[in-house]
Amino acid sequence: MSFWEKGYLATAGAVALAASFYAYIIWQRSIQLGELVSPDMVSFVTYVVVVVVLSGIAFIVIASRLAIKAEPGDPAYDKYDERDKLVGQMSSGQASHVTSFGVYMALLGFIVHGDGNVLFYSSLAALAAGEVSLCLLRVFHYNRAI
Amino acid sequence: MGFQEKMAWAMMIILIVTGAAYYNLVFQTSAAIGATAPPILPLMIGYVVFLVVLSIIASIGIAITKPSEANAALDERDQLIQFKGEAWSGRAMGFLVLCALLDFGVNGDGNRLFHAIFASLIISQIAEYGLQILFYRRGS
Repeated sequence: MSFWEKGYLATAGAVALAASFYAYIIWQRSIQLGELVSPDMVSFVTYVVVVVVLSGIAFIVIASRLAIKAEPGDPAYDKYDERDKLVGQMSSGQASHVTSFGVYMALLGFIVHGDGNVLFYSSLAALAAGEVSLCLLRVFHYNRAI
Repeated sequence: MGFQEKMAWAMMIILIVTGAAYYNLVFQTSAAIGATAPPILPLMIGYVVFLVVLSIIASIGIAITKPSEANAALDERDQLIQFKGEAWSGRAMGFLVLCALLDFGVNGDGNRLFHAIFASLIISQIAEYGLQILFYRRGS
């Protein structure tokens, strides 16, 4: 498995973990309140920052481990080449369909229930699903040997 | 100009015109009621139907001018341009939806969030076709 594959798998895990933790916090608060809580900007911005930081850390940790194992003179990780670019573009395009499908479902849901908080959380879930699918699609395309 | 590029031009223009007409009605309704208008289902269905009908008319019109091009499968370059356009417009959509969510966090208006997210989807779609045209012109 290449450096990029490992990095994207780790990023998918990190995004899924952060999203699950955020969902858990919202769930706990909603149970205490007896209704779905309004999104507070502190936890939302924290979630976005955590996702970005965890994704960065995943690549740094993997690069460091590979650098320790690498023979003297060998690069610790593969350069981002033409194939990586093609895999990235294909995966981003397909992942954008996942996100837009989720967002459309969230919008349709809003027409039914009219609750802005539900629309907020379901749109955020669609973004997280899109991000996780982006990473997994990259790994899938690498393994399909494009 | 190839079939795909002509279709991208047609779809971009159709999306801009229908999107502007839809939001013009939303703004007018909001001004009339003095608050952000809730999503109007008949208007949305009308918008989607109108969009689909115009797209079909455009594709038939373009296909009639050169039927051989319309039947041809996408080549490597067309596919690459499509992937690149989708990839960049997907990022734009993610960014715009995130901005809409932040806006909801500030003002808490669900109807406004709905219209902002719907606009993000339309804008990202327009961007996708615009980028495809740009990549065709640039000779990607």
